[in-house]
Amino acid sequence: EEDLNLQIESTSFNAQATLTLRIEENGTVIRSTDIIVQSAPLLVAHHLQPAERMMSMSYDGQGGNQSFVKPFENVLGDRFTSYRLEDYNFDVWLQDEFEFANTFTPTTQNQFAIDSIRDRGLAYLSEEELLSPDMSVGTWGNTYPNSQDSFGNLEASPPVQVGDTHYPFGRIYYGKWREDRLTKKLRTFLDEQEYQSPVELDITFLCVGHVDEFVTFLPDPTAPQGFRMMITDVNEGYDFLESLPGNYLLPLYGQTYRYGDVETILSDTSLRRLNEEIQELYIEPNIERFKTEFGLTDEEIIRIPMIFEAPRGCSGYAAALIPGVVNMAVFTHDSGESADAFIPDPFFRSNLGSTEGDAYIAVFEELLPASITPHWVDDWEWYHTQLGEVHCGSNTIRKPIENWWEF
Amino acid sequence: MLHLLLSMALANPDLHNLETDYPEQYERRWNLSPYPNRIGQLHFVGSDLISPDWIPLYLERYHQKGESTDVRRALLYLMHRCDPNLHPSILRSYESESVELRATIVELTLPNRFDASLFNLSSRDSSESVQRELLLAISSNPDLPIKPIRNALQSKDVDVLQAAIRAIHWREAVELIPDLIEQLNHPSTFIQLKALYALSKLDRAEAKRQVKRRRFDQSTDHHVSHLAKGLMQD
Repeated sequence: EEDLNLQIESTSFNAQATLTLRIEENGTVIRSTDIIVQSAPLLVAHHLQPAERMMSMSYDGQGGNQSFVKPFENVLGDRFTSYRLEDYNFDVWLQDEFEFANTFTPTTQNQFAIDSIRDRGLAYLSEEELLSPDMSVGTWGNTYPNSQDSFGNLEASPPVQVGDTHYPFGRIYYGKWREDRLTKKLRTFLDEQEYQSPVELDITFLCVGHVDEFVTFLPDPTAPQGFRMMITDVNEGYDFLESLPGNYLLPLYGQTYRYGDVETILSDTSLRRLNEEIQELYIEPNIERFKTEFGLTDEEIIRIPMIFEAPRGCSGYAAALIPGVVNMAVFTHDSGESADAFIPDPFFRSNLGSTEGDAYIAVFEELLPASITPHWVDDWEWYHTQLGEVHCGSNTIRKPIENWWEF
Repeated sequence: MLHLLLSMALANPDLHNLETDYPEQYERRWNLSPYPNRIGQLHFVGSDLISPDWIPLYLERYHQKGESTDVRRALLYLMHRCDPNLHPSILRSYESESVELRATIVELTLPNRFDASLFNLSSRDSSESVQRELLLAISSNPDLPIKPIRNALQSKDVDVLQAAIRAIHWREAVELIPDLIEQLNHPSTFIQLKALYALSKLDRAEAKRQVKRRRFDQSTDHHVSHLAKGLMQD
């Protein structure tokens, strides 16, 4: 007598089937038993999962983005990979093209890249650079894509307790923009995975319309559930500005936005009206949803000073004026309790060559959990002025940390 | 290629000087492609491009090189970053341009100043893109007449309506409050939300009456109900 080790390959994720085992003797069934088998779900990675590798696009030609790439190289070394931007039609938005997930069993582990229907310059990168025996690639949906089909708009929270329900792999969240939503086939598929029960947020105030523009999660072992949520808050933004002298100089903002000092920002009544509307109609209601759908308390929420503006080409919809610091890349350490964070440099200072004396960085670093080591990244020209930030221009492969079959 | 560049440079002494004094930079800027931003719009990337000194070259590309609409639009944004006042030749060409460029010219000009000719042309423009940009400009520029708002409230385009509602709010056009209340009947909860918010800023008491009458606190749209409940708690 020997144990029978049977491995079954499924063509579906999180699917159940009945396996009937029969012992026959001379054509007669003498014993039969039914076993329920379940294939592994596909689980979108969250920020408490340790990072294995981070990646971005790189261009070292004249006017290239090396000031963006270098901090990653310097800190992460061989845990960072860059791909040639000129090979992919100068599409820098690596976060938007695919979302990393995991599928695993007690004996096997597989990384997975959910490839978006977005299909712009990066359309073939996943097949050319990622597909391997250890990394599968798959796409759900074939409709004409909208901005919400980009995966800066598909994220997962860390594990949360919502009333009596524990979500050991967190909950997926994504945004809808008026009637524009994540493509239906992908929404249906994510719902079918069950473990991360998705939540859809209304983000119609944004020009690009991705959830990573205004919220993120960071590991913090001192927090009740081991993490803090960081979310933009324009009231905090205006309080921050009003704490500074009016003649506090902002040369880079002057060049790009014609806000040469703090006073010119504060005196722009249209800008203030835009921000008040964003806070009241979208940020506060979404904070409420994070509390009800993710079980968060005020103690777990860090409100980050932010000011939005209506950029050119955006029909009055908004993007970050101060580089969106919540749109950061989080390289979580193996403990799952700390991380290196690559954060858009706000350049809220006169001396652009050093972060010394930057009033915004001083305030923000006070709010950052002690578990996070910040690395300030110059994303101004290639990303911030192009309606994205550091998270949008990077992507991260993570290790799974829980066993789905135990829940 | 060099012969063509030289010919153009001789016809325009500013171009000629740029080509003579900075040949490598000239060649680079003449051939540089814009890149797609996060929503796929083409924009030129590089702070070294931002200088009023190079506007003659960008203008030449805009008018003469036979670029696509998307590239020409990127050139408009680039020139605007160099100097907030677009060159008069751009405004003179308004009527002959595509809808995308007409909307962009309005977007880049009227929020900053009242150009009567451009205002009149854009007010008569039937394109929804142009109407939207005109209304957004009216929202933020107190020197622009508010007359186009009322007609825009008849539009079936949600972005035009939103811009009109914003203009009523930001310009404090209280005489248009009845039109704002009418928008609370709109089938789109997005427009209801925007109209209710604008009303709450112009006449909070009336906004509270409308919330009670229409039971907006029970709206299936979380953002409408959130706003309504906030008003009822006053």
